[in-house]
Amino acid sequence: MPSTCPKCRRVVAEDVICCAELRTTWRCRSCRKLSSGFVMPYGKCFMCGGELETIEGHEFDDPMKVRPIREAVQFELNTYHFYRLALAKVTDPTQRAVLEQLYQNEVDHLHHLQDVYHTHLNDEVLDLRPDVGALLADRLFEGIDLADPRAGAVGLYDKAIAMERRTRDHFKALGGELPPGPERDICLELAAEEEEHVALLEAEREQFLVR
Amino acid sequence: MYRIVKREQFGPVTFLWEVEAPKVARAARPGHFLMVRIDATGERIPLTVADYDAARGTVTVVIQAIGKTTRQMMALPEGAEILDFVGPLGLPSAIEAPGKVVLVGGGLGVAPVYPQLRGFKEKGSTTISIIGFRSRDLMFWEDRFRRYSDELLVTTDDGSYGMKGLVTQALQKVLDAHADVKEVIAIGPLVMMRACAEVTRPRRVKTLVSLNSIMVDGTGMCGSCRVTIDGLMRFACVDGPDFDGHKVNFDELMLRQKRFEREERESLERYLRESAAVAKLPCASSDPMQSIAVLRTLRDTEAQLSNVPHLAPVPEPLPPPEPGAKPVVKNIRTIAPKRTGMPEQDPQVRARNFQEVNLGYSLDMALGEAHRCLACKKPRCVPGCPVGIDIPGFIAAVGRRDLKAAYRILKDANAMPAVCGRVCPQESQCEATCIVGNKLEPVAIGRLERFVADFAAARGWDELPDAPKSGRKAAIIGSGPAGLACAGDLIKRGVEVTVFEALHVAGGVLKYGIPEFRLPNHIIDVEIANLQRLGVKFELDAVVGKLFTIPQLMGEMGYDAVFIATGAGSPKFMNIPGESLNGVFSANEFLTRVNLMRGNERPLYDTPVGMGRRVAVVGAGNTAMDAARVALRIGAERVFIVYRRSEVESPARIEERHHAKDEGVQFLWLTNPVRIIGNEAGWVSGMECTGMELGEPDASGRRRPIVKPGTGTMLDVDTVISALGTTANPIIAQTTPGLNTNKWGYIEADETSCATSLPGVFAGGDIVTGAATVILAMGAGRKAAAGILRHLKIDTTAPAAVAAAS
Repeated sequence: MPSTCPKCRRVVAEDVICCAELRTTWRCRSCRKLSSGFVMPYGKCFMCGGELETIEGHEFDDPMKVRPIREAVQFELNTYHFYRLALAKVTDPTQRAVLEQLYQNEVDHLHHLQDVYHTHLNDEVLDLRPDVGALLADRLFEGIDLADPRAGAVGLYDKAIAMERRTRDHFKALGGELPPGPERDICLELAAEEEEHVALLEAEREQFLVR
Repeated sequence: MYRIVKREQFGPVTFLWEVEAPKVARAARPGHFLMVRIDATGERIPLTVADYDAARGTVTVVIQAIGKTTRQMMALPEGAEILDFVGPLGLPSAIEAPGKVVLVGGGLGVAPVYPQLRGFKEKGSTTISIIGFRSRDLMFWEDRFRRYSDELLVTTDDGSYGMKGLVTQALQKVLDAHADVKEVIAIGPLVMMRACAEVTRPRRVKTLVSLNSIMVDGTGMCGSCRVTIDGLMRFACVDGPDFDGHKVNFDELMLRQKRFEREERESLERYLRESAAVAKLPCASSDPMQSIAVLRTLRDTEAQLSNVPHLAPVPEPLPPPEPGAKPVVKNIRTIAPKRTGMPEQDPQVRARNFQEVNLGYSLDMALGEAHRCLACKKPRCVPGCPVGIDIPGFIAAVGRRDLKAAYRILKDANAMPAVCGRVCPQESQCEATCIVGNKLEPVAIGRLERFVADFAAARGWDELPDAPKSGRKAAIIGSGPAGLACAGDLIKRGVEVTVFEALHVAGGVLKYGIPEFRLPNHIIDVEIANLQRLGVKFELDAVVGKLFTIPQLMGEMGYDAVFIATGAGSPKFMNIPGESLNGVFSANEFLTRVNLMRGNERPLYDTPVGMGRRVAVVGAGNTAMDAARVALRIGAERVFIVYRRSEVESPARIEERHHAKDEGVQFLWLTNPVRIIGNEAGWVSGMECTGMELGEPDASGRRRPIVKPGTGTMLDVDTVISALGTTANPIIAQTTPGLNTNKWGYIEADETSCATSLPGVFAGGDIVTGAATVILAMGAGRKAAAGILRHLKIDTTAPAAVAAAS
């Protein structure tokens, strides 16, 4: 006498949320996008339309020894520092609104890496040495007209999107080089993750432009 | 309408109707029964088939006028018409190989025994009949019995005709004289059937009794006709009505027969009082037909007034967007953190009415909420929706104030957005995966869906295209969400569609299961009316598997495909002592009595509800919330939700739980009923419960409830409503050879096409998946439509007739 659990869709013997306090992780069989949440979606992968499968999640002795994970953390840290520096430099409210969100996104991405791959970063890693910061600050804003609030904001979006794309392409390429196995899977997962970041930023940029 | 072609009075309160009902007459067999409703406000009355004539297209019933409705029936003259005549229902009697059979009819029971007598005689059996009445003036059909009986004994209690005494005395005599009696069939009052069973028990003569008199609905959906047979619960309407008389728990049955006694007595007294008053009026007509016609017109009009689809007043045209709006950054940090609240009726007020609780967004609210959507390029909400609505697309259209486009997007994927916007559990679907929900309250997708659908309904934006006819015919069994969605897709591809519905209204669970304060009937009626305008035919009161079968639909009735969308329907009980007591309902029965039969509107409507003052609802799904909130609205002083797990495991929508709490429903989480206590009269007087706790997580992380020792409590209640979900209704499977079902009785169907084991027969919705959501059922309906179109080789690549205005 079954019902279907509204969250995990398992056939259960009674009307119940059988997995009420459980968090589920699932992955697209096609693009390898990894997601987790309290409810498994009904449909196919939101990124590519592929089939979804639930997985147990990753276990590592030391995740930072896994090349793609180590590189992902480094890329996210780079971007995180970029936005921190930019925030210190920018005063226009519109540009700050863009940057604050981009900065927050990066914090979220670091948390995502922690959640999925168990990369625990200590506080020192998140601070940039002052001399490096000064060096980076000028180079990173090349080509962005911060004097114009609107153009500056668009420029920030473009820069952010370019960085996400570069990361995505890197993991796609690395995944293509690696033999089938867990490292390759992780590359593809990370590439899919970056793909979503690109899409989110593109949507935000588009909406900014039409207003 | 069904015409009474012949009427015959047998005594002061017993009368016969021969009713014109060709389809029923063709399908009727001995042992079958019917459900009769005389007009729009009447209750459903079970009557046993006394005779049938397929050639004349008539069915004969014999009725005893004991309550209000049966007295009204007695007042109907020959030529009058009745509204519903549903059947044949139940399993036909097994009339097997020749032998010596004794047929015993007591009082009104003489009528249903007659077709069995004829059946046995035609099979070559030796028939001995015993018919008993209180006195000679109540006697009927002696001549008919004499025609088919090798031996006939007539008894009267007062000795005014035949043998003085009871039928059991005559039965004893017959058994003494005939040692070779193979079987006894006894039909009459419960006390008589029990006495007959006791006469035959020592002789071990097979004895069948017919439990028609306890029937309530006849479709297996309410569980009210549950009986204990050999210690196991059975439903008389689907497992019977004939049962082994030696195994029936008659004591329990006799108590159960009293469950609506008080209401029935009140109704009868009022009816007699009012009839007497009306008869004294100077304008009272001497023509019974005219008086009845006037009264019924008044009642029907009153009833229909409350069913008229209500359309919201059309608001002013949309204002143009504000000119020169400043460019702003829109992201998770700049949108409103909380969703736009849903205006709702005050809890104190709404807990006493059936008006819709949620009042819906205004245009400004909808625009504000639409602005919270981030319009993700890779939206996570879409795969969270079981039918894959383009959610960012429709919300963006709302944001642009292009509500027509928003409606078109919704209708492209969802046949009934106004329904889903109200009852879908969005928090575990699209809103659960909304990216805004990672940080803030997710976008109120369901509320926006409802807003757009209501806005469209008020303006009639549904286009009704004239699709080219394909020349193919499809039958859909069941008019719930799956059936309606399938019908919509098929008719738009030119398939001739007939929807067969067992009840007297279309809408299925949307009508009988969901109360109007959550889903007003007019919302469903608008969708049904749209389908009718597209050409979908609805045949109500048609119980497929009884009136005709799926093989008949696919054969002599000429359908090219059949979609089974009957829903699960059959209620679950707890299997604890005391469930047969009066005052124990299934949620299906309780909600049907109110939502469908409007028992809360007595005396305008005749159906009794039979609820007490202190109500326990067992279960914590949406149906449990509905039952609890209905109980409050119809006058319960206290209502408890009793659930053996904790709140987080409750599968009800969060909003429904909140609404129930606000209205005063008390929640007893981690509480498990172990026994229902009854008083001497067979009524519920309490429920014994035990405390529970969640055990350690198992390997999958799930925690199961375990009994907490020493936590037994007694709940002071007089009504218990079991809302534990449903099981598969067996009627279709019982009557469709070759239709594969799984171990739970659900139909096996292909996930993609909904095809079953029988070519041309498709199935979807709860009858395949078990109890699930409205939107999943609709999704299954649409999948099935696609499967049927492929089966019928109808091109599905060409654009379908337009679903909504473009």
